[in-house]
Amino acid sequence: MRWFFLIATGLLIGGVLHIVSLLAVPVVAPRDAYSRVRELGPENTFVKIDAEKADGLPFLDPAFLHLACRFDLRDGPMRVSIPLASDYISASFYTRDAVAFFSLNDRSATGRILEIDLRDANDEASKATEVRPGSVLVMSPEPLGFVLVRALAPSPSTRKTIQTELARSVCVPAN
Amino acid sequence: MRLILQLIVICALAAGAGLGLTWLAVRHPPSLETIVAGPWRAEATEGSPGVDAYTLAALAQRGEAPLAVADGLTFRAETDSDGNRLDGRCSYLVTGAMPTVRVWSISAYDERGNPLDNPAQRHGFTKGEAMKSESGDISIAVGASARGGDWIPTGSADRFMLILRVYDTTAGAIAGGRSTPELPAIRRTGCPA
Repeated sequence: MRWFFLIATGLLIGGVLHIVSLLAVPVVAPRDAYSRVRELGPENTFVKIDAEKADGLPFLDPAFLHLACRFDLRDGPMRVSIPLASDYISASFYTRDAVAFFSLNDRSATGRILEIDLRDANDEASKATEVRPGSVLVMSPEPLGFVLVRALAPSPSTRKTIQTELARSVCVPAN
Repeated sequence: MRLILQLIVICALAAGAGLGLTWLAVRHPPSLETIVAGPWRAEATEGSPGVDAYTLAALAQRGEAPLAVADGLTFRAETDSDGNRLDGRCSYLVTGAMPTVRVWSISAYDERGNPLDNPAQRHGFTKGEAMKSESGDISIAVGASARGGDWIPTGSADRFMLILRVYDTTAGAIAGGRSTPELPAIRRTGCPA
């Protein structure tokens, strides 16, 4: 009876420990997506990610060109602008823990450039300013996160042209 | 003395069961909202704010940024249609109809998420590149030995996985009223003895 009680207590605490440690994994994982993007370059700027090397980000589609920008909205909103360099382009927004909270593609663009006004949903001050005409407002649930741009470029012959045009993408503080 | 021994037993059990389960769950996450179509599996909520803790922990351990739900859906296959683990030394044929979407791609990866290295630098095929039969079916060979037509070389890899991505669509749209979408089969065509 005493041993049954001991084992039951141990397993109960184990269950709690399991839940706590599981929730902690995204926070403490040393090589999660955000940490990998951080290793590639400074924040508030786009960096190119090579799908052929998993050191950047693993499991990227090799038929695509990728750009990532780590953002910090504590100093105010960001402006993200992506030229529609290929037949299919998307921009996905992730929180610090790589939860995808928003995504849009070239169909959301009004012209030849996808313009995004990125703000912190908890930033009351930014709510007074109007969204720039022609741009899409994206509200981030957290101040830290990253944007991942995917541009379809399967053919080696057109890859360079798409890469050059895509390099004109900007990810900068709005003010 | 007895109390200390009991405390040690409780702590050891708790740590073993709790952390052990977490270690296991991160590497082999339980399927909570998985869309299964033959050998293909997609986690329906991995690219949305509604992602569950198990899926998120597994993504963090792999360091992966999943395809957002509004961007598309990721189907992963670690076995062929008969349930045998994909082996780079064997030959496979990915054949059948693809859902009607704007863009799709099929590519081969090692377990760490590198596209399979090969001299031809051919890691996969997209909708625009793959050849289609008159009925619209694709037929892509995957394996180490050279093939005519569409072929993804597996190089020197043994274990590998295939990932099929459908872009600018949702699970409901590609399933067309059925409970799961119909995706190409992965048939093993040969294996060195």
